[in-house]
Amino acid sequence: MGPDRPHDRFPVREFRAWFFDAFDRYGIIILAGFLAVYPALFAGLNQSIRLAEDADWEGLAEALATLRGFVPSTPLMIQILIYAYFGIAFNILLGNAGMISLGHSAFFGVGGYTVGLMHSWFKPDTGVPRWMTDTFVRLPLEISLISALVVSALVALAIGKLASAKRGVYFAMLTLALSQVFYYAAQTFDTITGGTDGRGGLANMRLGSLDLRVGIMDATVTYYFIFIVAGIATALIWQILRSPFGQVLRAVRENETRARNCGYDTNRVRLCAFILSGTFSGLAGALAIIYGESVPIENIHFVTSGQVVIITLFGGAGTFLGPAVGSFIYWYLRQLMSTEFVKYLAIFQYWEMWVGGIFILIVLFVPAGILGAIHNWTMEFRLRRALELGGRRDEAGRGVTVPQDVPAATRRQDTDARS
Amino acid sequence: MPVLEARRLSKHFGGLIAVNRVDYRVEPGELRSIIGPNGAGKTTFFNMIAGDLPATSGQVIFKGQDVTKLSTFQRSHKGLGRTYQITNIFPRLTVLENVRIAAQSRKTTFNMWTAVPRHRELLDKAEEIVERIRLADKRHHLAGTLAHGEQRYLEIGITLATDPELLLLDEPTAGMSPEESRQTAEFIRTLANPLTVVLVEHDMEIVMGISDRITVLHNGEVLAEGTVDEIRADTDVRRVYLRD
Repeated sequence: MGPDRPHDRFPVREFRAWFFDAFDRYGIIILAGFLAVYPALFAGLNQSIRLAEDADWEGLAEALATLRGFVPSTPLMIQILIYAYFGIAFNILLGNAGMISLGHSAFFGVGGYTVGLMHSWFKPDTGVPRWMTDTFVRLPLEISLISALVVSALVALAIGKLASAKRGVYFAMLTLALSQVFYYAAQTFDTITGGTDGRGGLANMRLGSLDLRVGIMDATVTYYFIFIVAGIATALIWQILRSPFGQVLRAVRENETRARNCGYDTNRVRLCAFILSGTFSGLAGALAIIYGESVPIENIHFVTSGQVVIITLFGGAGTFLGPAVGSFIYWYLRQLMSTEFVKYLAIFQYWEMWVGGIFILIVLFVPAGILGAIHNWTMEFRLRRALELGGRRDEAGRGVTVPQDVPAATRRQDTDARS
Repeated sequence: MPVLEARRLSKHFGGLIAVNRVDYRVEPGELRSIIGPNGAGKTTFFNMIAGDLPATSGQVIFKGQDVTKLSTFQRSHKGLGRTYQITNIFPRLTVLENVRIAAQSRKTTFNMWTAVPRHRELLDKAEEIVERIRLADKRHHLAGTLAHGEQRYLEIGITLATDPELLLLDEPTAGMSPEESRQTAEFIRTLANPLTVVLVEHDMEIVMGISDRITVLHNGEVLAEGTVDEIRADTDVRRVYLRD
């Protein structure tokens, strides 16, 4: 190294600067592109195994089959996608408005039940008016997804009205209690919800406008359907969070008293955030039942709320895509432990214990979450680089003032409003 | 017409009477101060005017309108802005964002379909205020990393961004060095007229230097009110302060 021989080595720092910028700018596009071709990649792997078997290359076939055990299957990716989106919807509250809801299973479950009930009710001879069943036969999934949005918005309004006026732990406890009301309701009215068996028999769900069948028989189609719907919803959330309203959310998170003093009706802002988050979560719940073709009662149980909290904190509540990273880690590890690791060590069948252990480690040592830590690391790197490029620390030594001729990407220095 | 008027304003905390039937009038463009020993009810009185605490009895009239029943954010929209004794900012937003978000409250709360950078006029206004509170070269620093005195200025900047007509400053020089305090006093002087400013202060020197009129609170009641010279000469005030 040394300033005297600057060209001797590979320019590590330049490369890192370039990499971080690319990660910031194109990360989301690369991720979306990867997700868009994923089923093809997985199908390609399956195809290669078959070809290798046909050609009697046993060694290769075996190696590829072992590899397949470590690659998430398309159904697992469906689960990962849904929870990634669910986490992002949940994070409108946790990461942005600073509200810790422990009741998001209510929306997730209600969204699922709405779709489930529509598909068992809106059939001829169930007492539903003819024009309704006729419309439904033509556009079943479209109508039930929209209904899920409406119903979960109403549930969010009801829970939000009661809970969002409270703060901190009281808010968390109220959302938990109110969501459990829905769980017990689902358990009690088992003629409608199927009780602990879940609401099954949802075969033949179709997207009427495209005449597409989705469900357990068509993993790839289901994957793409969920990818597109969740993708659009995620884009909407992203827009909301970068809007003036998103900025108000962060102001309320940072200092509610000050926000109110600035003239914001913080109670209404909190309620509005809650309804938004609940509605988007309801859509996640509706998407979650499509592949399995049934609504398990676990979807409305508290455990689901816990899962989404864990997923969000895994990835980092301070970042937009953190929950997506968290969802991948959570489901992938869970799958890996219960199908692959368990072959070597029986104790891995208790995957909850291991995931719990990892969760503790992350909370203790990487409190910003995986993506949050990467983000902070990027920021620190930029700060150091800004110093190298001629920025100077201010007297208090807390920040860096950077001259205007430094490249724009590096000039972003220590300003991170999100983490 | 007075900008602000308190009519027989009282606050009881259980059996404790923190503020007892205080009558108070502020004319437009005035720089007024409220002083008094610890526990005199200064901050409580302030909180009732700004809406942070509901009054037990009495009225707060702002620009001829009864605002006693209005909440803080509604009063903010009427033109009442305040700062706190303990610095109250958005620590993990940048200096510029702190001011920008305050300016935004005059425009929109629930706008979800545009991007923040699109609202150029808010950013311009924030830049102008950041310039005014002398934090321009730290505009991109996180507010929580600023020095104490700078945070106090930022809080005033946040309040200014909401276009207040009446500025309520609760001990703006708290925790500042004598030199900083003197500078801050001058700065506050420049704010008064067209704005109306009411400040609560502990530091007698600051108050004496810049105020048009001073009100002395003692045990929740108005002990004396008058110009700087009148207050200096007041025997009651001297007795209270000497004993303190």
